[in-house]
Amino acid sequence: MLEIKELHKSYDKTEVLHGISLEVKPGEIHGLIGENSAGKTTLIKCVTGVYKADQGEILVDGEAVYDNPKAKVQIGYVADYNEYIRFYNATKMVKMYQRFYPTFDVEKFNYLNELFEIPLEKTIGSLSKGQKMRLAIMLEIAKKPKYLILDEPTSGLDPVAKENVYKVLIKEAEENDMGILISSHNLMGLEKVCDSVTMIHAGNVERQMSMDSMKDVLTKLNVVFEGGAGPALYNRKDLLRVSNVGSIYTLIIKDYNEDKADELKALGASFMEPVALSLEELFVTLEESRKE
Amino acid sequence: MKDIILLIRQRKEFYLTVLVITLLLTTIGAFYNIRTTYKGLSEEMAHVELITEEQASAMAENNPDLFVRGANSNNLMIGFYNNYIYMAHTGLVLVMIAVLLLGYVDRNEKSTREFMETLPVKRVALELYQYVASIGILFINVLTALGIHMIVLCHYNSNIVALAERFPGIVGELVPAGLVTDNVMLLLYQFGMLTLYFTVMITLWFVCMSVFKNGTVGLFAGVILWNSMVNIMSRTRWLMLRNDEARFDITDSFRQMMAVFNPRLYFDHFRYAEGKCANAFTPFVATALLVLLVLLIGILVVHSYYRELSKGKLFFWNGFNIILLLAGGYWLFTFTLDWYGFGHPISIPLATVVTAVVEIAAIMWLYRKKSKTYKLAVKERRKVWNPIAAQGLRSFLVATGVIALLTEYIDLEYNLTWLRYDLADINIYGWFPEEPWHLVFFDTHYRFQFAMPILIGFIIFKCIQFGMERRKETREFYETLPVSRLRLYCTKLLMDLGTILIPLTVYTMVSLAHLDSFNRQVQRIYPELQANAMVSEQFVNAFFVLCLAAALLGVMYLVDAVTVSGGMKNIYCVVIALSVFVISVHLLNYTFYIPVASDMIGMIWGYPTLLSAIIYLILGIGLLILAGTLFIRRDKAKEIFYYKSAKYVFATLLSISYLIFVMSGAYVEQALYQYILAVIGTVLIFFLTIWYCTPGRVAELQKKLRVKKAK
Repeated sequence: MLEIKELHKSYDKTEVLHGISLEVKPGEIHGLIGENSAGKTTLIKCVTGVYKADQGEILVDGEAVYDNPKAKVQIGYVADYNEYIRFYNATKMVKMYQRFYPTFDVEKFNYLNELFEIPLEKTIGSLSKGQKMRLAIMLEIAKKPKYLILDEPTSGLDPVAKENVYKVLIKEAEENDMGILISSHNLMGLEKVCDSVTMIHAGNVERQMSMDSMKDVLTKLNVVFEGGAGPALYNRKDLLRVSNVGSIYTLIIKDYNEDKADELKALGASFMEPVALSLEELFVTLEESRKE
Repeated sequence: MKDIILLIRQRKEFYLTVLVITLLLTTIGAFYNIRTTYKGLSEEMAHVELITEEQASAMAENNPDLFVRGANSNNLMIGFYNNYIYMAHTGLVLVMIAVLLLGYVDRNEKSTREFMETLPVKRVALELYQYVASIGILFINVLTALGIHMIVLCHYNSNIVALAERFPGIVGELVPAGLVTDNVMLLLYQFGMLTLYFTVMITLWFVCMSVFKNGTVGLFAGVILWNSMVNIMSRTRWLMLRNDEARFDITDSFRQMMAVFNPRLYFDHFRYAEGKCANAFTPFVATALLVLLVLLIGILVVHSYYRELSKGKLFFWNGFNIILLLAGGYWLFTFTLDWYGFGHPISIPLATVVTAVVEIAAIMWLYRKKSKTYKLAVKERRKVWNPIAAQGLRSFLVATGVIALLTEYIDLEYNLTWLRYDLADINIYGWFPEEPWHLVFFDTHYRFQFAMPILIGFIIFKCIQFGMERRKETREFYETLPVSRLRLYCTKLLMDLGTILIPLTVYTMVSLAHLDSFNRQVQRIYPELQANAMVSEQFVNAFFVLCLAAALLGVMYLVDAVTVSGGMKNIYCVVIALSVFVISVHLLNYTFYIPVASDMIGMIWGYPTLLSAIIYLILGIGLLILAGTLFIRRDKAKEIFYYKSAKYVFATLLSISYLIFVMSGAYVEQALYQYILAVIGTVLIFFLTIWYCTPGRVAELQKKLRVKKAK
């Protein structure tokens, strides 16, 4: 298991991570979301052993990661920018990975390249942003790590490539028991693949939940108010978001239960129907409510 | 160690390339050295013939002195102290280090470094493998050079011993016993010390590159630090002596310590020691170097273990800020003392003021408070002529203008006090009793030197500007600006011209004021001297600097217009500078003895004459027009060079420089192997450079190899 316990990290005197804890189990796909500068990339760099944690622990199957080749060999890392060594081409990178990672599987790399189609002889510096990302995903998966960490893996990819990335990740998690941690702003994509997510805000864990329990946090309702909703609806403190098309109102409401349904009826609601809340809606609503 | 070997093996192609190139240079250097020192094996026969002839004439004239004189004048005796082995080696090692450091800096890019940190190897290994590889390559080169020198030295000295046996009466007295073995021991000693020097020097450079967050800055700091050590110690010694005469014994040890940082000083000392290895001087230097080496390796290892990418701003550990402030301040203090002549009392207050100003500015910059708000203060919109120009001009002015102004100001104050004091009537009579016209030359030449910071500062900042354009994203950003290419080019040019013109105008004005005061003093003593000539000379100086700057701008803009990446632009500039130097000095002066050579060299070295100024101006304008045309037409989709012809010019300059350097350095009429090496080297360099400068070269080569394999 990949465990992060009470992680603190600062840049000089500014602390950017204030005691973050999370776990990624083998075979689990865990999403990491948060606004810009929330500390996601710093957290990932600590987890991959690029940065040293000031306090707390990062363990891969019980082994500390920082400056520990034994643990590092079990981690794959796809960064948000993957320059590697600019003058190398893909073939040379494969040779390098074979040298450093005994588990590197060239056949798997070739299989992935049938999907992603990277020109093997071009130098990395001359590849496009999307091609660099594809190459990084191929290399990191082909080295068969126990845990794969991805920072914005779909940035720069076309829709087909994005789909392929998600398919490959699901396959790796299911068939090879690979634990995956993905940080992304593409919440629709994350929703498709993740088993659980951690929301980070300003260096703290704001919320951790499985995708199934997401509906417990907030509820989205389609409600009909014949003749329009009155100010009493808008003044409710538990109502985080409201929009309408004619008399059909879409509400996102906190801690929804039967009592609240009765209260809405009392306000003139003639029809109520809970609908699926997307991860993106959840994130945006929470962000907006925090700012208010 | 396992991890270090793994990392070196991973980069073996790079290291093998460096090794092959450096070994080639070592071999050439060693043979070059042997020829210039021993004049080659073939010349032994000439010595034998000479001795026979001299012996015959000595017999005929019955005068043995004639023979001894003849033998001595032809360097028959090869004493160890005439051996300049270390000189040829220096160039080689510097080339090697430059290549290795390029590799280090490349791996030190943030994204690459972060990727390397994710590799399953120990962090210490990640930091040390480049160092281990560098030292390994150095040792292989030293051993190769040692082998070649040893063979030739033994062979040559054996021949001299044989000659002594053939002519025991006369030559025998000149040849000491144990000539061969003594010189072998001395050679071993010399190479040992030389290796130790370079090892310590490379270690210091790596330490600096390791502690600075920016490896390139660290490298410069390391080079400056190593090269300044002698100066710092010399000035420290002088300061101690000046304050207390009784400390002479203590400060005398500085002389030995100075030799720890400079091979030339050491070998000079060694030469005067008459070849005795076991004097007190050598153990001191060797011990000091060993202690320093252990200390530096210790720092490197400890720092490698603790350094962490997220820490620090200038250094990985902020405590180094204080060390930098203290060490940099002391360095600046001694440097300023040296620059303005430390003999006069005014130099210490001046150096103190300069150091204090720079230190305060550095402290304010290092510990400045950064705004934590997300809002900028709203200012009235100013009409700037171009945002890039405004920002660039400001940087340039800080760099060149302020430096030049400061230099001029201090220089003026200094001269008005010290020079006036020193050029008292009696001194002027003493120095120039018969030819007072020398005063004119003395002063104008001297004044010209002080204009140089303007151009030097300009070149440095232009190179930094090139360096900032090394990434494709930056270059492409410029293209997205709503400015036409012609306007961009003209703006850049005007900005650069302004950068030079502003300090130059100030320099000229201040300089004329100083000259006026100087002239009045001189004319009191030599009323017949036309002081106006000196004033007009000064205008020529200013005009000359401007024309030289125009030529310089032309070359740099041409390079900018044809070369894609910023790093390559800097390399191209270095190649041009190198070829100008080599071609002018070696080709004209040493190789072909062309009569106009000295004038041409004068022009290249920048002696201010009206003719050379006009030539520079025409050259500069021509190059700028050409550069502008190419700048506007270039296709941004290219790699390495925008125009194909540029790589041929680049390769030609490089190969011709090599050819001339190799051919001019020795006695070519006797060295067939030099012709062979020179031709092979020139052709190789030419084609390899063209191949290297061809985009997609590796893919093309692999494709060709694959086709060949398939057949």
